[in-house]
Amino acid sequence: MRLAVVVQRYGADLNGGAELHARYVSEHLAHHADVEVLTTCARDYITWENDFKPGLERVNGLPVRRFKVSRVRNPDDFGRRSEHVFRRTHSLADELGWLDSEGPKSPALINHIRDHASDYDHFIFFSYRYYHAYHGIRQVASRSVLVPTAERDPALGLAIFRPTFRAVRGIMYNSFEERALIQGVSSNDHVPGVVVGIGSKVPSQASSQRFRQRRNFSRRFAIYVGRIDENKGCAELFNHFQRYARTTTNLDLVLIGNPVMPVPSHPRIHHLGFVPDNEKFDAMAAADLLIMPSYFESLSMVTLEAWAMGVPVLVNGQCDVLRGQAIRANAGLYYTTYDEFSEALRLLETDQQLRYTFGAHGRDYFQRHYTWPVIERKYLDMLHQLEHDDRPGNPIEPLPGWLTRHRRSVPAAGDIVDQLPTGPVLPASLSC
Amino acid sequence: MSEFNIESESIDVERIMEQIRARINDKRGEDYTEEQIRELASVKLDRFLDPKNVRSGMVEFYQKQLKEKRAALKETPEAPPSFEFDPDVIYRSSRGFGGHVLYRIRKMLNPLLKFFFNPAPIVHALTVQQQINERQAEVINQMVRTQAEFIEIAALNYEVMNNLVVEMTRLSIEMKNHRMRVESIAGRLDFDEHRARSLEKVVQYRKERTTAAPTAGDSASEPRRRRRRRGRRRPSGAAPPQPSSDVSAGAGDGPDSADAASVVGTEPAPTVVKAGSPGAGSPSSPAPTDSSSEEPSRPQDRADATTPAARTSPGASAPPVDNTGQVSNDPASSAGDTDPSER
Repeated sequence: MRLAVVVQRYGADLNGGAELHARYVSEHLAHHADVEVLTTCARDYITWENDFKPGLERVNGLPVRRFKVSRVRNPDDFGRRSEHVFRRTHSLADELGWLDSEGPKSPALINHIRDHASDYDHFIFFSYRYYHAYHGIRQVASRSVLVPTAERDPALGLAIFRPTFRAVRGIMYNSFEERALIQGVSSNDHVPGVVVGIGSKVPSQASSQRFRQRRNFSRRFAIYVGRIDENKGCAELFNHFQRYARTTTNLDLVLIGNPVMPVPSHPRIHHLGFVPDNEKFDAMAAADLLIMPSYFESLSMVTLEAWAMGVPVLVNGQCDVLRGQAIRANAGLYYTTYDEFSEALRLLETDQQLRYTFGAHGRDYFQRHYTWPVIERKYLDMLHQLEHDDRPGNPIEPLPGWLTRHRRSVPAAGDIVDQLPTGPVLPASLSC
Repeated sequence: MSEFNIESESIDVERIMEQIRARINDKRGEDYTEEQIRELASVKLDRFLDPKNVRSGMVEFYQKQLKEKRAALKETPEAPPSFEFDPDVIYRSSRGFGGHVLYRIRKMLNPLLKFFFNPAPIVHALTVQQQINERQAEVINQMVRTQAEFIEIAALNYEVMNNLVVEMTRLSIEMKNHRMRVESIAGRLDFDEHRARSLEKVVQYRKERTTAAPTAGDSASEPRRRRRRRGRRRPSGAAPPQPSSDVSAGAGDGPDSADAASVVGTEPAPTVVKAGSPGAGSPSSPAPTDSSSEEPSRPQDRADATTPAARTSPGASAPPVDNTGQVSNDPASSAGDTDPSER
């Protein structure tokens, strides 16, 4: 079986969520199939400037074919277009213009997909919202499998993506909430889909003692791992924790990750900066719990890693995905207000038995759903199912004519997303 | 307040979260949502208290400061009016028609004047000076406006702070009141519990008595009869009961004794006729020796028997007093008067 993994950026040193996801999946599927990665020369996800050389190269043993980006992104133009299509009634042409502006625009990549479609059995596209996925799927819809990595953001409400969701042969969802969102916006229930997520490489030798010795840290602590960013809910986390710290003296907060916002100077908030993976896992092993304050996640790898380490979590309940994961795994609590944050954190801090039980549930949940053999099996099952399915795929709906495309009758994407169902998918309603 | 009750075998995140929310509601006292609290917090602060009623040094201080600042602002001397300047002003005269002629002459002689000195730098310097003056005047006006605004803000700050202080004081007093009320209620609750326990035990004790001494033979009407008898005795102006054997001995000698005898005679109740009961013929024992059989049937009186006087001197040598005010030396009576657990 020959597979093409198509993703906007690719590299051993790229740590973006979807890009890392694509790399992990590619490297693991390479044990079972011939995998080639088709991507752009971009490294920077803001400008998409050509940084890598075009052509074929190998990354961790995998062949990677890169294509030039024809136009770098103009952030001002993109911002204006985003504002227009997300907030106002607009036309399909506006949405297509927005997609070109978002990039990474690489007609060479799309041409390669069209010209060499027969060279691959399946194309696995990552991230529905970028140029490569939209135009690539339109070329080879009948061989396409989509890993949407969708969140509850206004882009999901754009009309141009609905035919894409309906035309692909299969969809690998990251979470039940993501599936509910996409099915809600595109009515693609007929498309085979499975909730997969992503595995993680968790070392078996993580040592809390090693972390405490290296950092000379003896206090109990909660940990946050990830980019320290207001968009990730860190500002709210800092406010909540500083208030909470006035009521108890037992628990500190340790932060791991690069800051893009100032970290408050507080005697019980410790920022370690970016640390290597082994130290990150040592720190997680030493933590009492992990706090994940993000509002938008399609799948929180850090949360899964914490569960793999047997560490309970406290997540932001305003994020449906995180809240759903915590409920389904039965391995953590969530909060939506400071009062809930305070009570939940106090409970996790003081009840050791509860922490152990949550940790055990989390580890079990990870083992059942997110180890690599499980992930690989789900991908292979889907691909084999498609191979043996003789039915032709759904032809992708053609774009309407010029006049229709330019008619300003498409409602604001933000309004569409606001009308989608909210809340976590509870275990009782699962039919996976 | 609800407590967490988490069994490790049956942990359910949603159930724990419900308990957390219930606990938050209990703590908060009322079921306000976060949005409601924010709305309450954003409500405009109204002036609802008279600052004059606040006895605080801070009030005088603020008032004094405000007055001083306002006075200082009023006393600021007015700036002199700016002057208009143009290059011809040095040639003009204010003498009416003569000044106009003079102006013409000066203009005509201007080339000659320039021969002696150059007036251009003077004109330029004065022009610049005028512009500087205008700018300075603007800056000063702006500063004065800022100062006035600051004084107004300070007044508002004073008002807010004053209200806060008053509210805090009021809340503090209310909190003390509530604390006292809670303590009082807790004390009363303790007392009621204590009393309830005593009554429960007395009921048990009475059952034991009725089964152990059926010859006491109290009919259901017995207590009512005795109450009636006492009712007759009280209006007769009998002396208040004294804890003396004489009083008890004289019970049968008083004017009511005949009535009592008649009652006894007409109704041969076994309790009174029962001369063979222990202590019945003793002069130190009161005539109605059945307090032990009566008291348990009157829980209110039973509770009264455990009034602080009885409770503060458990086991004291003073003989117990029955409901008629008579002193009883009957051990059964005394046993029935007090809580067995207290004895």
